[in-house]
Amino acid sequence: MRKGAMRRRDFLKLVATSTTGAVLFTGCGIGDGDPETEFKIESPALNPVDLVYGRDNWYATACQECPAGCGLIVRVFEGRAKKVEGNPDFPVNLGATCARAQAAVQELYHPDRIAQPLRLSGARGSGDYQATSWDDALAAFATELGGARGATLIITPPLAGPLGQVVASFAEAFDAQQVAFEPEERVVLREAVRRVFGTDTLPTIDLARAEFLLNFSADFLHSWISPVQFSRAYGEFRHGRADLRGTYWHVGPQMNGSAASADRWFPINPGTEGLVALAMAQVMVAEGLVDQAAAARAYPGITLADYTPERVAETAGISAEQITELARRFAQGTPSVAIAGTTAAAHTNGLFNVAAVLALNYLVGSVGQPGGIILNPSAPFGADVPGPAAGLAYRDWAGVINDLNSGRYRLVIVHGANPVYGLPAASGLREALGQAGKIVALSSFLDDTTLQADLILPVHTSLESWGLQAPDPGPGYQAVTLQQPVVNPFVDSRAFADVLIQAASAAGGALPWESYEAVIRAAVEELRGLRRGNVEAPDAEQYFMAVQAQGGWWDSDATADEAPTAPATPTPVAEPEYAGDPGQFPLFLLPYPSNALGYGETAHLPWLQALPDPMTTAVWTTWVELNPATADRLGVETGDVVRLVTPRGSEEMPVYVNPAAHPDVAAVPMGQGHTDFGRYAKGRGVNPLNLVEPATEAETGALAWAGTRVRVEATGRKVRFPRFEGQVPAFQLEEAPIVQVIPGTH
Amino acid sequence: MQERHSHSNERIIRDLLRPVTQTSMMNWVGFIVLGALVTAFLFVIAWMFYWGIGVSGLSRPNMWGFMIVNFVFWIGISHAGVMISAILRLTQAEWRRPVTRAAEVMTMFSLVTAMIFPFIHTGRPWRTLYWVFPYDFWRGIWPDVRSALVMDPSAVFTYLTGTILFVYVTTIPDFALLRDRSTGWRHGLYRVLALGFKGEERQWKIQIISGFLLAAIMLSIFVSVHSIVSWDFAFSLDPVWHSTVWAPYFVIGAVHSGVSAVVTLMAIMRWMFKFDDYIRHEHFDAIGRLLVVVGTTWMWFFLLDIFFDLWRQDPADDAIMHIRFFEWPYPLLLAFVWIFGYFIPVPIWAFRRFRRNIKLMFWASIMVNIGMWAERYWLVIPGLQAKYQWTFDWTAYRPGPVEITLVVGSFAFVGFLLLLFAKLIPPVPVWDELEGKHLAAEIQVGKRTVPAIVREF
Amino acid sequence: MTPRWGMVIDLDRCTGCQACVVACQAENNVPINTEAIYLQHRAIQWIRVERYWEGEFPNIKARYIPVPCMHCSEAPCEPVCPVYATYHTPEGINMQVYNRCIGTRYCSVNCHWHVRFFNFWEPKWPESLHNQLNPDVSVRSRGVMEKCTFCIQRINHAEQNARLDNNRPLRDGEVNTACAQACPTRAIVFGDLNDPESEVAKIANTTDRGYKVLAELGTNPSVLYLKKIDPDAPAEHGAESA
Ligand SMILES: Nc1nc2c(c(=O)[nH]1)N[C@H]1C(S)=C(S)[C@@H](COP(=O)(O)OP(=O)(O)OC[C@H]3O[C@@H](n4cnc5c(=O)[nH]c(N)nc54)[C@H](O)[C@@H]3O)O[C@H]1N2
Ligand code: SF4
Ligand code: SF4
Ligand code: SF4
Ligand code: SF4
Ligand code: SF4
Repeated sequence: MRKGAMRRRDFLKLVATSTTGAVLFTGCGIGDGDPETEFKIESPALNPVDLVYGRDNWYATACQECPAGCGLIVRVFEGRAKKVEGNPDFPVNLGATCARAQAAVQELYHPDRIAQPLRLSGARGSGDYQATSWDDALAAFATELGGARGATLIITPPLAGPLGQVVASFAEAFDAQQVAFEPEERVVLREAVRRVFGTDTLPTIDLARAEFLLNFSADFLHSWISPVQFSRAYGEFRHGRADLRGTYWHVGPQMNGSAASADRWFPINPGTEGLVALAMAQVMVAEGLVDQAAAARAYPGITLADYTPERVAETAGISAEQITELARRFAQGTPSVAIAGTTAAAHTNGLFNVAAVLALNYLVGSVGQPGGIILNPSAPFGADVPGPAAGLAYRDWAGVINDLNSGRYRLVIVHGANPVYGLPAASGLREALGQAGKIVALSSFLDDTTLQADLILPVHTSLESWGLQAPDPGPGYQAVTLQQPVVNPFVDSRAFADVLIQAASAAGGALPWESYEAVIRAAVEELRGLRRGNVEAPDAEQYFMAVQAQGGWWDSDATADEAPTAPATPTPVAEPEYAGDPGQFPLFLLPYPSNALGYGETAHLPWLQALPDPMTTAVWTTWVELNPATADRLGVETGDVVRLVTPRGSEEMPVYVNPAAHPDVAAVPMGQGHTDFGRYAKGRGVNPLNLVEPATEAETGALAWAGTRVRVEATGRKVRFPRFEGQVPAFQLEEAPIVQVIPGTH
Repeated sequence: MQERHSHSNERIIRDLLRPVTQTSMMNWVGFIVLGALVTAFLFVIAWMFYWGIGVSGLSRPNMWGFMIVNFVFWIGISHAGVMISAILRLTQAEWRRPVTRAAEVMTMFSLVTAMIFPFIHTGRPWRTLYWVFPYDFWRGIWPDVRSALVMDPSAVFTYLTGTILFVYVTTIPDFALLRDRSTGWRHGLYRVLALGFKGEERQWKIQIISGFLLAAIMLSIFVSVHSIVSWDFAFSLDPVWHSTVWAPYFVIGAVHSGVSAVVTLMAIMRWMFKFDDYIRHEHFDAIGRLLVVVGTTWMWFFLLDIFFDLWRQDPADDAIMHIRFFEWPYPLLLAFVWIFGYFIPVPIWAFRRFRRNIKLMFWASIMVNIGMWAERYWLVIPGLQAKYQWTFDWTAYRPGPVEITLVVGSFAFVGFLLLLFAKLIPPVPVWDELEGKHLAAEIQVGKRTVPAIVREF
Repeated sequence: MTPRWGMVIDLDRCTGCQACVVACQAENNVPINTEAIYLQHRAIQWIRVERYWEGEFPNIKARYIPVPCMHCSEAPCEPVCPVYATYHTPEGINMQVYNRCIGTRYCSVNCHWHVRFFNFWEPKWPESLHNQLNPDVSVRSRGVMEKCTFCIQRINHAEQNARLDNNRPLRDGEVNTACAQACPTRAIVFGDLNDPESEVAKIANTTDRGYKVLAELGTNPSVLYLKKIDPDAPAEHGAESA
């Protein structure tokens, strides 16, 4: 054996030593059998979430993503808004938010936000704009304004509170006509509330103390007037009381997101809500469940005896027994409350539908009572501050459009409203705008209406703005949110009201304020003058800061006056009328506001586009929901493209076979089909309003967007249908349910 | 053994070295065709590195797909190596001699190919170093030995190491032979590889003993490797995967597909290298008899597994069994498994006449591997697409073009490496063949006929 | 006492509004789920709301269930990870260490609640949306697994504040997850199960509606569901308790 080579014995020795070493090593506590310490992995595990040092601030403000006016607090880190949460103190939402509020930061930092003033450089509607400076833009705006006295049209959403005051004062200074745009069935709802409860403010529902809720078509948990307020109350309604679980029945043509949570659903034909309510009243009176005199007062001028369940059943599409059951259960509830809205109001008889349902509350004495309908007082603002007002009804838009076409308006100012998208194409608004002298849009995004503008002035998004408004509906007493800028403007934008104030002054019609912030401060100072409410402070500055910190002002003692005992104004019976011959157009077209995108106003936000629809789980698209039997008859399945034909036009979209769809209804969500509105919305899906025959609600003149019939034709084409669920339809395995259910008692 | 040739030693050596010394036309065609496919294979891997796993057809919950199926398949093929060289060597099955090297080399390459798959299948392959090499002792960062994904590469790498050693040890005498018969760079290469082997008695003895020892060690690997691969699935709680029978079942399945692959290889070598005298009908006959046993055992396990899945009557299992039996494409795959994997080839092998028909054997062995690939797919994929009662998430898996290319490419890759290897090392062990010849020689002692040479151990 | 974080989700309150989903995406820098991502069935939602159908028109029901990670006490996703990229904190949270994860997806294969999400692609936000990202939460690169962390960054913040404040114990309600914070019906309640006075423990200890999804797997999830109540459900169905 050569010298230096390892001998077998050496090798064995080495092996022995290293083994012993390993044993000793282990014995010294390196490996004690406890994986937690043995593998020492704690430090890296904390690593991905190590705290970052920087200044975190939480600012209270108000949500502007929908008109409900919830209170928010926003996390601001190093000058950037990071996260939106509900303001736990604010009485409307008590700390909660909906999905849309969460996406407010995406509006602020949206990649397609208009970053500087733009001047049209191509043809109108071409989208060709050139950047310009604020000085030039304001000068141009002022020139137009000065030259268009008496010939100016201002289009905004309904504006109440100090902002309404500024705009009204501006309109007065330039003799301008002011019109408000909002989803048409809200116009109907406001009129119905005015007739039934005699108030301009919307009422709230005291669900937390109700025993039985009867809802006619309103999507009150997802998109209807104040979904977060109602959802909070709904949680309490179900499980806020130890001994009582509230019962919710839903009557309506569609299992919408709210109906899905109901204990029972009564699928009726679209637009027959009012008739069902009358038949219920008839049953309650006939069976002596309610006071006959009260019923007569609740339905003045209507002979209830004519509306027996048997008579109504066929029109309504449910059985007389079901109507009787509804009536008995409603009368039995202690207390019961009835509401109606969304598609119920969007028919030619929308006003009757809503009014007839709301009047049911008088029969069971739940108006102004705990667990019933709670009326809201008017806002605590001065007399010169406008209160809540309805938008323009479709019938009146026709007048505006006529005036536009006749060249009456030399200047159109648009802000915060997108009527080119939100009114049916049949209205001709887009074309009429072409006749306007100049169009100035004060907007953050190039939406369908802004796209028609000659001059675009970028305005702040909600998280950069001041504001003061009374939520409508309020929580049952006076409340006001204070909206404050939580971050500096992200782009070169200005506040809408400030632009008006500056332009007015440049055009020689100076308004009485120097800035919008001054308007807000003055209004808060007036609140201080009331000497009541949640905030106390020795001087104006501290008072303002306290209101800022609280996110608003409220006074739980300032409730509405005594509730009325009968409707203020009668509403005659009206049966629904549908555009289109049933032979040719066998189905009802039922557009509906989407949970995430509403009526399309949030279609530009990617989080909301990507949020699965609660029923279909569809995303990023428009679809038509058909009952499996209906789909079978047409020979289509989910993902097949169909053509929807109405007397007004036709559109193509994929089918979603929805096992909960009414067999006679073709439901299509609203929100998509924008010509522009940033990269996430542009050219995506279909606007169902293009299919709607512009019939109007008989009394208010609002657009009856749910009153059109439709024919569905297969095209033979297929698309891949973007949705969240894997296989369609997802039924639970009976032997192993994911969602376990306890059978309850009635 | 009447089929045995009686060639001279020199003739045998010349014949068996021919693939190394001459390059036939077929060889060139093979290189070009397989080379093109290998290029596509490498390109697709690079593509996936660059863009990420997004380019595959995987989704939630189908997080494992074609790549894992193919991994299992190639690990299965690799079992031919242990089966033929370890078990048959230890049991002194004479007929193994001409096929041991091919089986071992195929094992080596199919292991390498198999390991490519879990590697490229990770989200961040460049970080997989963390995985088996705990380089970071001082920060206390270790791989988790409880994970089958740590056991699995350990087992496979052990097997690979064993195989490489085995191939090497059993090739040393041939290297020496080649060293003596080559010039230029080849001579230099073979000189190094031959480790100074001169055919001395002591050298032979060491070589033979190490061969036997390695074979004995590899026997444990035979049981472990595919058992551990099956644990990748069986350790999870997934319905139908979570099954104790999977370990032996996978092992026997691996032998079925691996040994069949050896048959394919034998037929190809016979045809390509004109080894008619060395890879003879008797060899096909013997391996066919083995396959009848292996195939039938495998089928028994296959049915047993189905039986267990159904016997439990668990809704989670039932949902997947429903997919396996009734939903496209699984019934078709099941038909493949049964028809190609068993009912055509095994009855054929029952007949001596067919066992000795090389064309038939070739196609039957191809069939087995089609069936066995389908079997792995049928076993693995549906397990994820309908996990438990979340019907909302149930989603079918559809492989993308990238994955299909990877699977096709992997076959080309193994083929290409085998061809390349045959250019370097004789595909049939020359010394083994010679040894066999000597061992078979018999002499007359008195009234009895006894072997001319007797082994010491 | 070390907390054990847990959650109660009341299915009889949940309305499927998915405010929780967006709140979680906002808090945890979850990438935007594009249309293509949905078509590929690779959407990432650390909490997702599943909708199940039951029955046939007109007697049909839609049932919602929000599903975050269950933070299983005996989490099956953990021992299968070859690199300890997912492990259990002493406070009962199933953590994901993005740095270590190599993307084998084994954990996801062995999570039977399907709450582990793989980054198949590099997440991308338009430049301006970067301003919205939460600085406390790392953005995950492609090739790694991600999942609900019970908003660990919020817990860390609160624990740190409590330490600075004379090392006092955390008070109930001091930490809330983004999903529970947003939920308008208060269907989600989060807190320390080890603190008998916490709201979550009180509900968990007193309810007769509680059940755990896939409890039979024996992983002891930290998320307790409260059963949906349906007056019309046939008595035998759903009557069995978990
Ligand atoms: N005030 C100040 N700030 C600075 C700097 C400065 O000089 N002063 N320097 C800057 C510079 S140049 C740098 S590079 C950064 C460094 O900043 P960081 O990257 O934050 O560096 P460390 O704090 O050193 O380590 C981070 C964490 O990684 C953990 N860790 C260690 N090993 C591993 C592992 O293998 N896996 C995982 N997952 N985690 C592990 C450690 O425990 C620690 O918690 O700081 C920057 N910030
Ligand atoms: S309901 Fe309206 S106001 Fe309230 S949080 Fe949602 S979007 Fe904002
Ligand atoms: S739910 Fe899934 S990811 Fe969460 S701890 Fe359990 S197994 Fe792991
Ligand atoms: S994907 Fe990441 S966390 Fe999951 S098992 Fe693989 S390495 Fe571990
Ligand atoms: S606990 Fe936090 S991380 Fe988990 S789902 Fe809720 S918000 Fe998302
Ligand atoms: S936010 Fe609440 S109510 Fe809405 S889906 Fe999530 S858990 Fe359900």
